Amino acid sequence: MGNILEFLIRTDVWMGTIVVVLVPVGFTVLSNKLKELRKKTHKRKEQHFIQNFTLSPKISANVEQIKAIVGDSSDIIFRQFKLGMDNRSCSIVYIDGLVDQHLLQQSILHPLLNTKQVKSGLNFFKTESIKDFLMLHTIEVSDVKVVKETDKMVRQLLSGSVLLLVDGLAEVFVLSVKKWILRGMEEPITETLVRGPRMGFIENLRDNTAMLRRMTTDPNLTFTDFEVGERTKRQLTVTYLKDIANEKLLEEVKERINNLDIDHAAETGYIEQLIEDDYLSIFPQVQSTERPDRVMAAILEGRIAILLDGTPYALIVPTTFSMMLQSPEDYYERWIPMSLIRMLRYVAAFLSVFLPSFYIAFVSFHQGLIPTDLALAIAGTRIGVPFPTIIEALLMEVSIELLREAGLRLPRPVGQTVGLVGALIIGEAAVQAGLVSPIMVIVVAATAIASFVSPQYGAGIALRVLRFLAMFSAAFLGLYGISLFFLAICVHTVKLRSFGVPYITPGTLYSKDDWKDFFLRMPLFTMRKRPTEYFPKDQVRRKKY
Amino acid sequence: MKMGTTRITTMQMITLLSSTLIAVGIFTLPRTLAIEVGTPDLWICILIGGICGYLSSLIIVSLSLRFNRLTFFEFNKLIVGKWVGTILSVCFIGYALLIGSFEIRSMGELTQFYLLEETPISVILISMYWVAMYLLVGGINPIARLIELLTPICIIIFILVFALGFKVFEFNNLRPVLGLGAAPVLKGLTPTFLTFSGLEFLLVFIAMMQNPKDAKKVAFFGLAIPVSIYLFAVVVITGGLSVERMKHQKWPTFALIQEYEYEGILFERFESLFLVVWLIQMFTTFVVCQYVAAKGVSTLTRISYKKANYILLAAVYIICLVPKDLNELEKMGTIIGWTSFVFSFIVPGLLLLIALVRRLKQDGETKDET
Repeated sequence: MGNILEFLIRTDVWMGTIVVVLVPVGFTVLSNKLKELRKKTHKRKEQHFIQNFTLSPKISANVEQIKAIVGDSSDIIFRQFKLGMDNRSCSIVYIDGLVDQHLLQQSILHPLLNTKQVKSGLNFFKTESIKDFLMLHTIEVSDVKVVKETDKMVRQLLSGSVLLLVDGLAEVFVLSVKKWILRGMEEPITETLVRGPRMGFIENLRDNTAMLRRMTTDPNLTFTDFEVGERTKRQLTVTYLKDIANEKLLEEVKERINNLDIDHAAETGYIEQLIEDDYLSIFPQVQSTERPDRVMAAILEGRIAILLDGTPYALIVPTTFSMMLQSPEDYYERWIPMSLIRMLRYVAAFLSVFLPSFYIAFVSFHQGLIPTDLALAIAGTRIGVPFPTIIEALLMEVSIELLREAGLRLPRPVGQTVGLVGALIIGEAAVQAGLVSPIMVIVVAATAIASFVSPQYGAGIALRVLRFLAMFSAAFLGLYGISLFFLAICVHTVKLRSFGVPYITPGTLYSKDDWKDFFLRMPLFTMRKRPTEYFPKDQVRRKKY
Repeated sequence: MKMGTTRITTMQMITLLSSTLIAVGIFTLPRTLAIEVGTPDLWICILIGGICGYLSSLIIVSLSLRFNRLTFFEFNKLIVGKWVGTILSVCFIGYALLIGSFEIRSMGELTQFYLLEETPISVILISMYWVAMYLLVGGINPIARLIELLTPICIIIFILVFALGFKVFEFNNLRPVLGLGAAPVLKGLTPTFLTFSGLEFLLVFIAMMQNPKDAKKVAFFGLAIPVSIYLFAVVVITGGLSVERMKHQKWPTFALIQEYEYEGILFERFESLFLVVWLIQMFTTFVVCQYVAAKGVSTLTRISYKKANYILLAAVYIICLVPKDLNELEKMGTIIGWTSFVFSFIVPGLLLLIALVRRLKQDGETKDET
């Protein structure tokens, strides 16, 4: 009894209790608060960037209205003319630079200026029938719409259509003869393959969807359009195979896209950050790619791709951790080497996070746990190094990050020079000056190389950040700290979901079949079923085997 | 949005059970067994212990299956009434807390001894509690996923590390079999029970399974895996160290791993690898115990599962500091062993008997677990 009483009045026990409870409570409260921030809505006036007006039969009034909306800009061309045979006033409005001048000349202006009455039920000279007449006999453009809503009309004008206003009509012809400068199709630089198509998406959405359409004649390939960006109204396309993609998943994707609220989406990165599940997580929960073949493979597995006009990067959801370490080439080459390479990537990912922290832990805490010769060798090289290992490691890691960042932005030849100079000269000099030990340089260099192995840039960044955290936990608690940190990462990834799919799948078995494409890439014929992790509607890929 | 099931799959349940059972015993059992038994028949104890465990798990399974989708905390009231049921539940919660704190304290002691000599034990304990808390607030699904993810790796490494011990294995150390008759073997059964404590948690988890019909399979494989690992470990340790030396080592398992060295490869010693994996196993055992306790509290009272976790965390922290030294910790272990016997045989046996006599059976409504 006395023992227990004595125990109960110990202050360190009570202090510990308070700390052990309060920190997680505070952490939970904070993270809940931060998560609620995202849901917070502010009231705001409905914004109309284009003033609506009613079209009048008088052409001059309509032209004035359009001028009032967009007329300040120098690139907007108003061209007035009279219809052939009749003297009816007409006007075309378009944006210089977004329109195919040649086509405009040949298929719009020329026929209109030379209109003649032809044998037809429609009387050219009457206002009631002029609309149908022009539509049927005159305009030589295939994509023609007759629009009454003025905001839609102005949007069309600003996206490169030609407006044709005719006196007496309270409607406007919207003619599509768009043409603008585009980059040619190139091989994506960030995802180069040794073997595989040299195609990459470009900045024009239509061309990108066409690239996907070119790969299949499957009628189930569906493109659903959305407009994002309250002010800029970019076109966004959700791509899926409608007999494979899970409906619940599709609903979720569409709902999240409908809910996203932003004035301008410059890149799919904006979309990614606004639709992802957990913005506090370090891991990318959406995959981005420039490769049409990768998108095609993904939607064939029942995943969903999101394309945005103006960027070559497509998004693929849902995403799991193992996907960050996969490359389309895994499937293009034979299975035995590719399985080994894939395992190598897992090892590299592990090393890129944990190698420096293992060094710190073993050198500053557990010299006894490494082979004696090695321990002596390390100790020998560390003679004269004035810093503790953590500082030494941080010094080198930070300089590597600096070099990488510097090399990234510079023009390619200069970038390479910076890399060389940094790696060779600074590394060598630092060792010679006795600031760091040569083994530290080896560790840091090996880590850096390991972190470049990751086939996806986003995954590489995440692992880089984790490396620093791992180094700190090793510096505080040694090997135990590393174990705890590893556990914490595991806990985080098992809690994380990407569009309803646990981030760690197929690390946890939904089905044994999913393991055929995890550490190993089994022969193609064995992968008879689509991955079950996305719950595809059509599960079976092929009949045989 | 969640895709897929929110219940525990059979595979998850098997790994959950086996990783609950693989815990501190892997360090303490060889020595306690060696002292109690004194002959090289240690492995027979484990085998018998495993069979007894399987029998008790059969009782637990048939009891749980009578009450579809109800946990122990819910169905004991139906059998023995509200008051006795509540007392049983409270005892069960206390028992889960006791195991949890025992495991973590042992983990702390060992970590301090082998890895962090100068770090205060409270720092070691608190940091692990925090990581565990991060997992626990997520509910049973992340727990099951984490265990499913890590247990196979851990099992492989355990087997690897012990298999390497064959380098110092001497078959003579294992002989004679039953040299002094069966009496010493019976003495060794008590510590074995402590090792297999955790089996009782099936009383709670069967209700959360996706296919409760697989419960017998789960009990079999969930027990077979840890029993074979313990068996393997004890055989290798006895063969490598001999019973006499096991009695004098504080932690014979560790002594064995330090005994052999493989020169020329990157690790000559495997303690670090083994310790890391073992830490993970201690973590999962604690998490499961804490989950059961928190689940119990949230079933009995109106406190939400998350809040229950925080309150119990304080309790566990205080309990685990109560033993002053390793001897007291060992005493705590013995208490747990006996309580485990009560909860794995006596309580489920009696409840099953009463349920059979009163012909109680219930098909609870199907609801998703948190």
